[in-house]
Amino acid sequence: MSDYEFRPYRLDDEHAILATFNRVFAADAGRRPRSLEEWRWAYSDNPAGLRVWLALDGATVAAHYASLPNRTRVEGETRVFAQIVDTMVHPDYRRGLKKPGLFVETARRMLAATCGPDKDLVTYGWPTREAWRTGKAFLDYEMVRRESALYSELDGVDPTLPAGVVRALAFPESVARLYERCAAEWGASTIRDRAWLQWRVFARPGQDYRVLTVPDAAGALLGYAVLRTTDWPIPGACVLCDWLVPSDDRETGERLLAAVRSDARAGGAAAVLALFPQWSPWFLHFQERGFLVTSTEYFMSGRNNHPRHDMFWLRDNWWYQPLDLDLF
Amino acid sequence: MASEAADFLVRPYQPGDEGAILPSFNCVFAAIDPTFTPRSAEEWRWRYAENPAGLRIYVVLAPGGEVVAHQAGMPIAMVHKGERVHWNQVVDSFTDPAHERGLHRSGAFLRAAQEFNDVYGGPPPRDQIMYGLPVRRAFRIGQKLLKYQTVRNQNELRGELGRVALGAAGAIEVEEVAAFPEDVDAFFERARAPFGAVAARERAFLDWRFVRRPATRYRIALARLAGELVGYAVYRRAAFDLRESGLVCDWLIDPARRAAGNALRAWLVETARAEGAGELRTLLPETCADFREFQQVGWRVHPTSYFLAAGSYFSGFHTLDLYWDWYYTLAEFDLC
Repeated sequence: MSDYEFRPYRLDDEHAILATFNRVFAADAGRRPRSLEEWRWAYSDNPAGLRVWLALDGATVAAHYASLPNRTRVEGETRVFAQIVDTMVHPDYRRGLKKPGLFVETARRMLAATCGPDKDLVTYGWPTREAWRTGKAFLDYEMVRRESALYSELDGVDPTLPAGVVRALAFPESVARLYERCAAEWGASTIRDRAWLQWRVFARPGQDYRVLTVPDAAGALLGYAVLRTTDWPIPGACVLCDWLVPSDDRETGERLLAAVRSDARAGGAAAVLALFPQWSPWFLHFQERGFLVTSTEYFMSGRNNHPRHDMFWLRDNWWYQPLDLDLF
Repeated sequence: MASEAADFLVRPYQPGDEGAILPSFNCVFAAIDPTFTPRSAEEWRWRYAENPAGLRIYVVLAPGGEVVAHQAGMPIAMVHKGERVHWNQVVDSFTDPAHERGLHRSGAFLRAAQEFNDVYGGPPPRDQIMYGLPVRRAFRIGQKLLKYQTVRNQNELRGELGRVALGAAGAIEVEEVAAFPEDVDAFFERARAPFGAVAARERAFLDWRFVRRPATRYRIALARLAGELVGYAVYRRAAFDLRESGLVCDWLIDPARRAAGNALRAWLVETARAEGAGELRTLLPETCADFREFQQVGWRVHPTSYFLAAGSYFSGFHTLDLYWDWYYTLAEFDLC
């Protein structure tokens, strides 16, 4: 272990990181290599900062532990929740779960440096089974929620976008007011301001999101939905990646949900998948509109860095959407 | 197996201990739960002494003989991956607040929990898995002492009587009965097929759980097709998660006779209506066919305040497979 150099990212490390990344994930069927452009978007261009820790063997990235921070409103304060991503050990340096030294050592160093009551308040992610077992055993990962998806097939849906719904190519500044109105009901949520949304949705290389908005007469946003048709996690489904509508504005919700179905249908999807915390009024509303709650392989894991925000609290207070994960 | 920690004696249950357990239990829980009803000796006997799967209790005694801490479980016979094993629902853990500091300083409570875990948990014939629906504090203690992990955030299915639909039941007939019939064992063998882990819903368990419980009336309905048992449901009007309603306390359907579900849901609606309940609620895993079928006739999924947690003695245990494998209802819990 002492032969490795453990340190945070330095400029130009991305070339060595990508070499290891593309070696590690090359085995995943259908996965194309990650480009430099994609790496820069995810890490250096993230408006909330960069969190990358490496274990280096000479010029080779032997292990990598990283997170994508999000500015998060937590009980009225601006804090950071960070999504753990791209955890990996180079195939030539693996030892297995019982002796996960290199991976755990790299992870612990990053978590010690970036997490705490006054630093990143929560780290989270949808782990693979292997990452979960290691994280639970060595890094204090816990389960926040087994993800139950809302699922609706689109047979017979009219693909025409309903009146009053506008397709957007950028988020207006007024999205911040919409977010503030919604966030008043949530204990914690990623701050959905223009800077974050533009980066997350429109600046993503190769992005294929569709953004549907409902503006009022003056052009201010009443609600928006971000959609993406994808073969994951269900082939041919349209994932509702982000939904921002005040829970007391059912009229906008109805209009936007109709638009989501129409747009998904027009895009060739056979079904729509949505994800809401079960306490959200939208979780019940979507059921009332024909969505069925269904089990998934996925679960949200978290590591709280202040005892107040433990898994019980996060389950009951944290609003997140697929857009809070890099998988969508 | 008895051990001493400072002035406290830690040991497994001995006949007659209930005389000291019950006063302490009733005193501790009355102080923290305003809705608490004192537990009777008959209820205690039913829960522990008469459980067909056995008795699991550790006590911590003060020098005067009073029970100042208690760790208990209600074991249940399971079929897990084809094997007959026991699991253990951890219940009724408490420490007397007047002795809490001494218990923790002396390590007596910790020792009781560890011995409970070590003595009762283990490879067959001991308990393979311990589980429960703990509140936050109990979850934290369970994490430390029983290696609890989350299986799922527990949802419930809720059906408003005026809004649920009744599906076609065909020739299925429903009969309300006072006790489970002999052919329930053969039915269970057919009905358990889809599940990797399921409590042995055989007559011995079902009779104890729903027929012999003192001062509690469960209503039992059987669904039959041409005389063959194809499903059953158990109903009781009671509080769950601080809300009173008609509860579906147990539910099992022959996987080849899904229409039995429609017939039994119709009976549940009729029964709840007759008892003045406005809604029906139940627990079923999201992974079973029933979960979808209830939704398809208008039942909705709501969150509860619970996490389902489980722990095990064997290293490398995790709960990811339990999420998929384990079929359970409210019958597996002492909450109704």
